[in-house]
Amino acid sequence: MKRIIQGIFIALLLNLQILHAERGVLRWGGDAESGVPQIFYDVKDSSKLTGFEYEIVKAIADYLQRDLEFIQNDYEMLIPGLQRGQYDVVINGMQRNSWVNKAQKAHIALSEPYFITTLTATVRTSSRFLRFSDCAYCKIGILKATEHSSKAVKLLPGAQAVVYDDEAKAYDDLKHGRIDCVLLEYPESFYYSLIDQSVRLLEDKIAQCPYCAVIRDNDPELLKQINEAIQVLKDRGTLQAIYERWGLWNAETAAYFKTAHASFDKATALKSYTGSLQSGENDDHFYLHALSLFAQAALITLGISFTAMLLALLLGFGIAMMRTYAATPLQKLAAVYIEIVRGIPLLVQLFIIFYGLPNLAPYLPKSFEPFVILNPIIAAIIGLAINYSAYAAEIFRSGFLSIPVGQMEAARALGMTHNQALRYVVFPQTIRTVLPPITNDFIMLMQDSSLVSMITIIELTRTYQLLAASRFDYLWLGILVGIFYLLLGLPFTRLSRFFEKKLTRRVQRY
Amino acid sequence: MSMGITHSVAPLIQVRNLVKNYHQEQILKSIDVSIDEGDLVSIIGPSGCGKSTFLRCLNGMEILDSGFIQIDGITLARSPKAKTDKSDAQFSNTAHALRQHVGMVFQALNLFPHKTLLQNVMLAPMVVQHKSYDEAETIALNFLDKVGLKSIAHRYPMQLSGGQQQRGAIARALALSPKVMLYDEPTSAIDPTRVDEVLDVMRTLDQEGMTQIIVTHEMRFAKDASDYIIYMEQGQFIEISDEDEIFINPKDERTRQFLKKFM
Ligand SMILES: Nc1ncnc2c1ncn2[C@@H]1O[C@H](COP(=O)(O)OP(=O)(O)OP(=O)(O)O)[C@@H](O)[C@H]1O
Ligand SMILES: [Mg+2]
Repeated sequence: MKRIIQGIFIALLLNLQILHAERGVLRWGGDAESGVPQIFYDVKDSSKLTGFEYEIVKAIADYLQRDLEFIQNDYEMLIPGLQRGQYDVVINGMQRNSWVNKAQKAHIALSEPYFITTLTATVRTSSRFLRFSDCAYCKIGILKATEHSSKAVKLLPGAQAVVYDDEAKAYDDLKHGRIDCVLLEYPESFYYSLIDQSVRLLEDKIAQCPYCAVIRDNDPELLKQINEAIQVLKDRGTLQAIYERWGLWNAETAAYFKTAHASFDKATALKSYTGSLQSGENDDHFYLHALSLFAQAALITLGISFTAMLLALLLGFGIAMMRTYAATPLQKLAAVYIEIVRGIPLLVQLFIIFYGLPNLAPYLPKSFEPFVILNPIIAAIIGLAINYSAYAAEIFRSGFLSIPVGQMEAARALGMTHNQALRYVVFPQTIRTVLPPITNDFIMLMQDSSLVSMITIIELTRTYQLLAASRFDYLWLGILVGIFYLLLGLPFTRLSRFFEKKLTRRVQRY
Repeated sequence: MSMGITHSVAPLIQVRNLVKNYHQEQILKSIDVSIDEGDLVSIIGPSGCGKSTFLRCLNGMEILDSGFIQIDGITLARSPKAKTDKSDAQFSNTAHALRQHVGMVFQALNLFPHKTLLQNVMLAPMVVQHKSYDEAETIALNFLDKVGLKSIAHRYPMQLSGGQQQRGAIARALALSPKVMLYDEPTSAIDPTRVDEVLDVMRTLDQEGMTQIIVTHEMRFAKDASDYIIYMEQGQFIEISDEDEIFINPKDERTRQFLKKFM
């Protein structure tokens, strides 16, 4: 047992991300779940990143002679993660047009564009729509946090926007007729239309979207370097070659680069992606790798959950003691703590701890910085522990209250002090009553721990989402990840049932 | 000096002007009594008259409102004026010391269910009196033997009958070598066929010279075994008397009315 715990801790430590950049590393934030063809896990080898933006960032890092470190974050949290210094640059389909007005307020700076794409509408192959304007008075699927597409929908008479978390669900609804059109940027639409014959693209280009890199505004040196890198890669033709290989070279980018529009023949990367998806020849390889990624992620999930649960139990026990046996003002305090912690969603608490606390850093002495700018794993453990301590406290409290007062009286009549009576008589009897609900809580915590993917940690659920996004396989990978969760929880439920039985055999309630 | 009974030596238990209120209501109304070492005293009376409250005062489980209790040289006293947090703390310290000289057995069966009979008896000597494990075990087996449970010392409470549990509770209290034993209706939660085995333990203890106070509805036991009987009503001791006298010829009309129901 000790070995296992040690193993978990070592695994955790190895996964701790370095907070401050060492020289020579370009820490780059992106969301591999937002998918094909920007950044995604290679269909042939799920341990490798690929995608046209991945290749661009690699080219930039090479030019700057830096090592590349990828930090996964949820698409919507990419900018907050940048602001708190989790990485130094975001390169992941960031729209220059939508950020340019907010840049100053968000303390960020935008690079020159490295790519220009357009919004493109996808419809069912069977539909009669020919151009986007035909979609008036229809339901149109868009992604959350995409201003340019919601603007385009507003301009269309009678059209109604339906907002989705990810493309896969939007396309699903399109195929099943819940919506009539999906409006996304060209790369995503194009790649999806290649692998799914039941949808097709409309020809017209709806709005231009220039992609740019995003940097903190207090880092002008890096901005200069990145702009220079983009300029050089543009001039050398490196960028054009990348776009051509991914089949994304277009008139808009050509006009911006002031070069000629080229042919589709060079789209080798695109062909290799669609080819291996269709042939299925690399399936074994992919799933085998997926299995090992899941195993690693399971270790993270288990490590975080287990540590958080231990802390939650300690904290919860203390709070329950205070709530049940302390002087009245302290009892009230404990009750307020429980109410507050239970009343605020876990996700909000995680965001406050991870993205919110760093805002205090400028107002505190330098030595306090490590306490407000927390490492993601630490922030995850603290967030989960605080949240679950409130639930644990309530479980312990009802455990204490379930012991008949006669037990305390008998112990007191035997000359024990209040604390002795609690320690030798009340607490040991509480264990049996609290064991099942606490095991339950632990299983819940393990499932809730998937939320920590919102603070850049790649745990089980996020691994599933990332892998599924690159091959649009939500079913089989979903079953696989489900099995992993079940296996993680099983030993704990078994153990708890075993102890419960053992204790029940000799304890009777009066 | 209490009514009717004379003392040759200083009494083991002395109670003077004991008053206990719950929410302005007087539950014990100035009780006076003295009890000699080795006596077995029964307290009888209608439900709600304050019998349990009186016993709980005797071992310091209730904070008195005023009055004076002295047991084996330890004094619990409270004057109506001195009601401060500090005096409360002082009171509970003395009460805590007192409890080690006074054993108590309750109506409810409350052996600790997560411990065996032996562990139940050993716990307080080890925790409260800091006896070693071996010492505590010797003491515990000795008292379990006295109440006739030595052979089943390793059973858990749920494996015992009600009568066995109450005998276990008596052994558990005796293990601290108290000077006085208090019993609050020790037989009313158990099977009637098991009552005698518990009462027999008290008789034996009486013969060995233990001072015992029993709140009971077992009139036959009160009549046969007690040195004297106290009749209590509405927070007062109405009559304290030699056992035969109170049953044959009660002095007070209220005692007569109460006893009529049992005869
Ligand atoms: N904790 C308490 N708070 C308020 N009132 C109480 C409390 N405990 C007892 N009383 C009241 O004090 C009175 C005496 O109670 P007590 O338990 O001493 O009676 P008793 O003579 O032992 O009765 P019984 O034969 O039913 O056990 C009752 O009227 C009861 O309602
Ligand atoms: Mg009573």
